[in-house]
Amino acid sequence: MRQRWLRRPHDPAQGLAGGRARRRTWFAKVYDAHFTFVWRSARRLGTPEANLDDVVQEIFMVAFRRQDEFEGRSSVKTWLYGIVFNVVRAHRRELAQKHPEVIDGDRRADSDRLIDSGEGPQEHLSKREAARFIDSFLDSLDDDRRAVFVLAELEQLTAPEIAAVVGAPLNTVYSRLRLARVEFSDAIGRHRARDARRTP
Amino acid sequence: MSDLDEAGRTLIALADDAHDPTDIDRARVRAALARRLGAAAGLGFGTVAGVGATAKAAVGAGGVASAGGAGAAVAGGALTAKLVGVALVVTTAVGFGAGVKFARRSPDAPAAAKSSEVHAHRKVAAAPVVAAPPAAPVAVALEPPAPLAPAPVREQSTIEEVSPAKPIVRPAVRHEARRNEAPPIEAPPAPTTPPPAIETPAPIEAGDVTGAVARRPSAPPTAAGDPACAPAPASQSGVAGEARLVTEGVRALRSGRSACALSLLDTHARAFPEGVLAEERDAERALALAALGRTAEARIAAAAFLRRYPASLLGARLHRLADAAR
Repeated sequence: MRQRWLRRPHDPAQGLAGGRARRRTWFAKVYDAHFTFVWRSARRLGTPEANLDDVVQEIFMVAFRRQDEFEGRSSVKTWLYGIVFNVVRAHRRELAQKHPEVIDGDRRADSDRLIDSGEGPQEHLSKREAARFIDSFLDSLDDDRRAVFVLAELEQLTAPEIAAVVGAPLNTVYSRLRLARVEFSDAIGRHRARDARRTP
Repeated sequence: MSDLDEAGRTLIALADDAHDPTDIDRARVRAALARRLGAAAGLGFGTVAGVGATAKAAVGAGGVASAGGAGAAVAGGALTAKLVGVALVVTTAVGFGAGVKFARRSPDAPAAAKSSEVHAHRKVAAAPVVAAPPAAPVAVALEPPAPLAPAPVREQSTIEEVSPAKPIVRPAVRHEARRNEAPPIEAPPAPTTPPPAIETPAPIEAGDVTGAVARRPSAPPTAAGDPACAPAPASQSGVAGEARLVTEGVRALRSGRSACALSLLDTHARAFPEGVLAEERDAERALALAALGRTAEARIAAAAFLRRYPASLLGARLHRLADAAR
């Protein structure tokens, strides 16, 4: 139903609104189809929870402004990832300048957050625990490695796609990913060790 | 290209949806974007059906901070979205007509307005969104609300049906064209109880009104306010009531019942000064004023709108409005 409407040919009688109407449907479609991953990756790339709304809005504002740029590209998703990456990075830089404690606080908090997981069904608990672990691990990475790790391991982009998104050479992407993975394994090791101490 | 050990993969799989947005997040951001981008974003055309229910569930579960607000925002998302679609159509039609009208028509303000220019100016600056005057003559709605508006209000669940601009645009344009040749107030006025004083917070500061706007006297609020056109704002609270007022207002405006439209939009302004649909209301209100020939007020309202929502694409027509009569 919706699809059919979206594809309805442009009616010139709409005059001025015509071009916008097309654009409108395209943008609304993009929003509906990709909001989830935009939101998700904005979080994963390190947008503080409190600023998420603003950052995601900004991402879509940029996407809206640049939609002409998009034409001819093969993947909306990669294009959007690029915008997400840039907006989040700009946001974090600004944050680091104005409120360094937010970003640094992230890093310091690291694995201490894992400890108290509250109660609940076992599955829920472990899911939540896993989420906390991932969050604090990501916060412990520097922004470059974080981006590559998120895009590769969580978002399942390929290395060439990541290179395009972050604007870095392929080799750099591979090397950042390698390092991030090592850190990830180490973090898991530390987590296990702590777990073992807590539940003998 | 994942190359992690099993523990790592398990962890990631477990946390897979941990960062996903809720439906509430989706709708809230959507509403915010629709406001910022105006109709051009077309965010009115998504499917937000069922989100309200989800919001309620989440609220019930205590899953959301400021639960009431979130619920409202969600519903607002859907409704704003719908409204924006309608608004674009109306804005297109009315905006053009109004722009032309403005270039030609001098404000049909009573002479008294000129003598009290400063006073009027201050008054408007303090509450530019507002115009419902005491002792306003009233336009009686002669037409039933439905016939000219095939879809905009009816469906609550399938928004797609709401917005096909095509069927709506043509009658609207035709009607506007007709209306430009005719006196702006289409319904016979009748006295009625004055609407209550307006509490809309001033969107702009007094000093904010530009000289260009201030130079011309603003017509004192004259028309609008009809029981039929102004359903009790309390009959539906929250976003539903809000949306109904604005939707009906837009519909009235599109069908040529400008005074009725203004009355509805003013009712909205009183009941929901900072409502989810405040942006749409303010835009339509300026257009309604223009349609009524209350050019000076329309210009001030348009200017206030543009200051308040500089990024809104609803503003395109209002620019014309604000500039035309200078």
